[in-house]
Amino acid sequence: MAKVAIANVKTGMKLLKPVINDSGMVMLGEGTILTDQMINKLNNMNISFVYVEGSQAKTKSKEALINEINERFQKSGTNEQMVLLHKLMIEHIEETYK
Amino acid sequence: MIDTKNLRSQIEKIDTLPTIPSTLRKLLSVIEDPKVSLSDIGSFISNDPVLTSRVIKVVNSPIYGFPGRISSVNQALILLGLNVVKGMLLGVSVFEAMKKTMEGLWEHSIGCAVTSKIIGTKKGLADIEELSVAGILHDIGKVAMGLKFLDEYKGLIKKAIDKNVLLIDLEKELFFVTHSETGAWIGQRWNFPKSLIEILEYHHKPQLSKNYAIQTAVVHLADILVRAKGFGFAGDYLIPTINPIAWQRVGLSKDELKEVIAEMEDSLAESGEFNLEDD
Repeated sequence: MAKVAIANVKTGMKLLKPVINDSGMVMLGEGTILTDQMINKLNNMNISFVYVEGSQAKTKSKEALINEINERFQKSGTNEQMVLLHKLMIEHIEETYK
Repeated sequence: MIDTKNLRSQIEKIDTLPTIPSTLRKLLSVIEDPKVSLSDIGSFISNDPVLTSRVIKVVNSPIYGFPGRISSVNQALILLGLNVVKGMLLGVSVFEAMKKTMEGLWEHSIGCAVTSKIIGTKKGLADIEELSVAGILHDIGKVAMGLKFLDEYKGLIKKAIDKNVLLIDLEKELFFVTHSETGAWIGQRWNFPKSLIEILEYHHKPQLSKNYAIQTAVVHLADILVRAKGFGFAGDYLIPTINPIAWQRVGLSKDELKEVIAEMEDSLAESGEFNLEDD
């Protein structure tokens, strides 16, 4: 699941949570595949983001994410467990982007 | 240079600082009382509309995992029990102070709560909600130091970033104690449950925890995972090293750790916008 700002929402994205307006009414249900028309409507409502299918990671490029993680680990202390954690976090990103 | 002799009494008296929100001060007087009952707490919350709305928000958030299922304060109290409710109230009341001390500490804290819950569930531990509370409050010592010594503490954070060192090491240099000790002092002063005090005191030295060794190890590990993910901000951009004894006590297999990393992704995305700012 990814939280995407309205400005970055694209046609074809699938909603994983309903969009609810200020008065608590469901405007678009869970599972809706977004169309241009719906996105226009969202732009006119007081809503800043939606939850869509996919990984949070994909809002950034894979390389950028891996670089960030490598940098954090390089600066920090290390031992057997840290090496394992580092490796699994990179693996997780690789798999998310498959 | 800060007079360390008086440090403890100064930290213990932070509830008298003028910068402390009045709700927090009132709340402390209620939860400090060891004989306080669930119904006393219930009426205290219900008399304060802001607190009521925050409690409802928190119990329905990914931190506790009753999404959309709790609509009244009484229901929350019955489901969560006295100790968890006390901790949760403290968590929602230190929200402003956290934002003031360190931008990103609130996110770090709820990230740690959510991750502690994920690990605790995976290992089949009892009292998962108490682990969540410990996650939210594990850095309360930073809030106390930040409230009492705002300029000095901001200076330490800046130095930690500039020099790429751990904030905890700089705390020790300047104050001779760290947020672990100051957190535990506050916990004792405010009558936190013993388990919570031990987790606060040893989350950076989990090998020293005797009575709540596994819970302390879980929060230690959760803290590290949240920082490794780069979620929120805890005062520096480094990742503390996993303590091998704590690692062994939690006993996650390689596959389980990988599952935890994946589950964190979704829960952190959900809690990313979880904010107590009153609408």
